[in-house]
Amino acid sequence: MTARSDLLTLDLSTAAQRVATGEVSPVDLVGACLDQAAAIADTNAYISVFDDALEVAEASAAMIRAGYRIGPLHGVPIALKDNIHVAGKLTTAGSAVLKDNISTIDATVVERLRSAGAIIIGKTNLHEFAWGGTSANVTFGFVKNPWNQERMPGGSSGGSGVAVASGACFGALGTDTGGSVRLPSALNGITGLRPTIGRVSNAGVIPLAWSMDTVGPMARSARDCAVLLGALAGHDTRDPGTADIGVDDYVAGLDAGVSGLRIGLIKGYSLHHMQVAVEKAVREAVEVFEDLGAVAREVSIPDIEGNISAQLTVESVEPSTYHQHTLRTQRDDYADDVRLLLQVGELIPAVHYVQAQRYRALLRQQMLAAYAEVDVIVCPTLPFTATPLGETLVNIDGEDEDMLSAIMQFTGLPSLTGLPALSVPGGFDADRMPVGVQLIGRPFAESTLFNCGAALQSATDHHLQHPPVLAA
Amino acid sequence: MSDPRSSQVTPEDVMATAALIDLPLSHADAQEAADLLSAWMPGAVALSTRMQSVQELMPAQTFNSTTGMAPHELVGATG
Repeated sequence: MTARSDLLTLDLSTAAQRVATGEVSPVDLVGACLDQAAAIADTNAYISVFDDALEVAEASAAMIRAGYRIGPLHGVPIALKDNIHVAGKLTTAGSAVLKDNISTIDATVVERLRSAGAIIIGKTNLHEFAWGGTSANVTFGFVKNPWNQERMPGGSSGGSGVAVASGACFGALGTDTGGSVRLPSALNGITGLRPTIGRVSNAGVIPLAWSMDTVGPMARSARDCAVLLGALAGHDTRDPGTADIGVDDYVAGLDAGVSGLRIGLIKGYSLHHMQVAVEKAVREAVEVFEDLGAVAREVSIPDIEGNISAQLTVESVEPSTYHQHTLRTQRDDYADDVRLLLQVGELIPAVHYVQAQRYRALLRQQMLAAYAEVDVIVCPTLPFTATPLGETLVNIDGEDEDMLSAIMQFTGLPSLTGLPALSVPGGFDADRMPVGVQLIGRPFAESTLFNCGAALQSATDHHLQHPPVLAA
Repeated sequence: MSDPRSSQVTPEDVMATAALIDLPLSHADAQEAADLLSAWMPGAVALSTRMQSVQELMPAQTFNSTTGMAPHELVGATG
């Protein structure tokens, strides 16, 4: 019998395996996570926890005793960002606008997680309506980084990042428009995937920017994310944006290694304009890949300058369209920062928006051309480590910059092009705050990214480090 | 905006545009929006200008194959 507190340091894959063998009960896993969620309440990671999760766990345990395993996530506690609908549960999107909103439908990703045997234990906090990168939420409390609660956890899926890093769930779903899965994964020292656009259904998810939104898994390791994506991925008749393209067995190739793989660094970009600890982490990751037999080389993306402007334009106009009515009827229910962004989005000329969309196609063509020379592109997830709570500026290369623009510097590339990207832990800065390294792949090449992530994690232990709340 | 050659957006610019699109704004809102647009517009204008020289390029956000695009779609990629 394993003590509940000892269960919290298990990764998702191990927890699932132990449930399958009967070594660990889903009841203990869920109980341990709910206890931990209560213990870290001051991080504001969760908006709601599900009272019925233990009953579901009892049923899940009974199935295992009867010799029946639903799927690869049987009995594993999972948390959802609170912009993902679960029928009968509160779904706020982190906003006072929806503070009493009870969902009437399950998102497709919820159906798929349950079909794989997962137990949904609660909904996590986020930057209001996912429109921001810090998870500074004035309605449900600023989400706090478990490595240092004076720092922000990134966003917008900040609560999911904190819940995973703190052991308050074994995996979580976030949503990623401009970086909202990868940013909190990097800043909380966990692994997170933005899948190829159209790989995972958005049906039943409150949108931010339709043309860039995707759900993505967050967990301790590349292997854990591979297991989660296997449950989530695939065509969905409820979402016409999903691709009718076969789904890989993401776990099968995880031990293939990276020998011969071509690792790309974008000239003037991958190692340009970032804090020292971040550059060190990226260089070290490339060295590890080379030690494992990969070959690193530079590639050019001629029109990469302009990506932040394009992202600001698209990510402003589309949310303002979605919120156009509510901004006029519930103006004062929005947080000041989000209300301003929604107002500004309406003021951007339509021609700029369409040119930004055309720029995305240009950038995508240049990225696809680069993939003739390399298999994976490496860069930071973001150019800095976690900043103090409430800060709106960040210092890079000795200059203070606007946080929103700076935070998009590297995550914008996959968001604009629709390419998949995996953020993996790359070490720590001098204050022991986590650094994230981003791997960007070809369309639907998530297997390659997981393979790279697993190789990196077989040679390093950054992903095995725990924040004080879990290490104690 | 009042001066097309200037990147500076004024609260008056914002209020005038907001009136055109039936967006209610307080003067404080207009000041904040003007500050943000002043920071964003130079980049947006530069991007829009760059894209004017790229012909035969359609917006595309999704993939319908694992290779990303058909070869003919690469024509005109560099403008």
